[in-house]
Amino acid sequence: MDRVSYLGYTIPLEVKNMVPIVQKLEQEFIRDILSMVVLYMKTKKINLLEKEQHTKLNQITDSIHEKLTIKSEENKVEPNNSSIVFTGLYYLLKIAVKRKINAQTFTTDITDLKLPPYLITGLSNVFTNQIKDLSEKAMNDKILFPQLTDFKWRVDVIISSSFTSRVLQPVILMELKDSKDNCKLFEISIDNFHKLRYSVAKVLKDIDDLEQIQILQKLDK
Amino acid sequence: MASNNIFGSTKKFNDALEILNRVDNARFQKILVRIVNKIGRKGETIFTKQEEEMLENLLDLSGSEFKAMIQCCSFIFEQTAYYSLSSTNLFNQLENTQLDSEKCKSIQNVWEENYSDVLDFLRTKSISPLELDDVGWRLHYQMSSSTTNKRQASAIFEFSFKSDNNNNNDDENNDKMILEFNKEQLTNFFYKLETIQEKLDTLS
Repeated sequence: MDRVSYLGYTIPLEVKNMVPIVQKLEQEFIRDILSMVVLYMKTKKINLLEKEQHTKLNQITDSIHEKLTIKSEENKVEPNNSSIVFTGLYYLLKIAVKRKINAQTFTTDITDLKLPPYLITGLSNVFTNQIKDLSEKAMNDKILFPQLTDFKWRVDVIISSSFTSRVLQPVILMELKDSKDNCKLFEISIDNFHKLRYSVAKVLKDIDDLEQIQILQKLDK
Repeated sequence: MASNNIFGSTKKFNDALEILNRVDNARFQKILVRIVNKIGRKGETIFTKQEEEMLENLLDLSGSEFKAMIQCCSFIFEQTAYYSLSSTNLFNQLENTQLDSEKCKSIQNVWEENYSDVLDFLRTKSISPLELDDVGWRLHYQMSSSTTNKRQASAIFEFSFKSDNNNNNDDENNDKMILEFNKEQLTNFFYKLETIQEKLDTLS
């Protein structure tokens, strides 16, 4: 075998711990855990901007925890074991999403882990059906500085002022709002506006140039 | 406009002109240069206490006379700036007052040399509480993150603001705004700036 498993040379401890436990558990129970893992991955976010999202995640983690405990009792399984399974499955999927592997590799590599066959099919199904959603979410979910959410502007011409009777000078008012709900209303002189416009154009061009660099294109594949 | 007297002829003004007439012309011109460059800059003093004392001795003026002179000169320049007079018009205006012609010439010369700077400054002087002062940026290429290995470029812009009350800078962070853009967001932002530029172009 020349190819290394997508999990790496050494299988992560979280996954290793799970393998012996899943052999002993009921199929149904593990399916339940798997669907909870997917739900968790879909709601989890690094940057919880809105309070709503925060409460939602809390609710879901709470309910997952509760369900795990209840189900463990029903199935007469130690709650600790079901947590280990949850974590192991989560790692399997998380690393797969991060490495951007294809379904073929995923199936081969989890088969090598000697998991029960029904779990392999279950995971493969989850992978093929959800990978698009999950990787898109992972792409958008990253630590970020605040982003621009709203931009309003107004162009004025000053006619006169207390200093001079005839000014006739354009001036721009701008309102920027960022994703943390900070709002700034400010005036910007023509000179500074040109500077801003130049900077933005320059950065755009730099991004374009950057994307042309061969080695970066190769890295992305 | 030259026909109207922009200075009026109040007693206070005329008294001050009397004082001006007594002052040595070479020194007067130097004082004028100082005054003209402080027009519209509130909160900045024209002369320090020490300088004031020295000048009072040199020019042989009392404290109140010196003050009257400074105020009178500032007033002349402020009015001139308000009506944006040319130096020739200013001279014509001054000739109608009691000021002797030597001093009129000095004022005219100082205005001639400094008027474009002063007017530019006054025209662009803003009364808005917050004004954009500087734009800084940094371009990044994301190599990897805790959730994905996807690589992409992103730019961080920092807007620094000049606030009106920079004396009581209680919250430094308030005067800055940091925004992150990816390529798509930045392109959108650029198009909006372009719209503003188009509007500006129609103005000129």
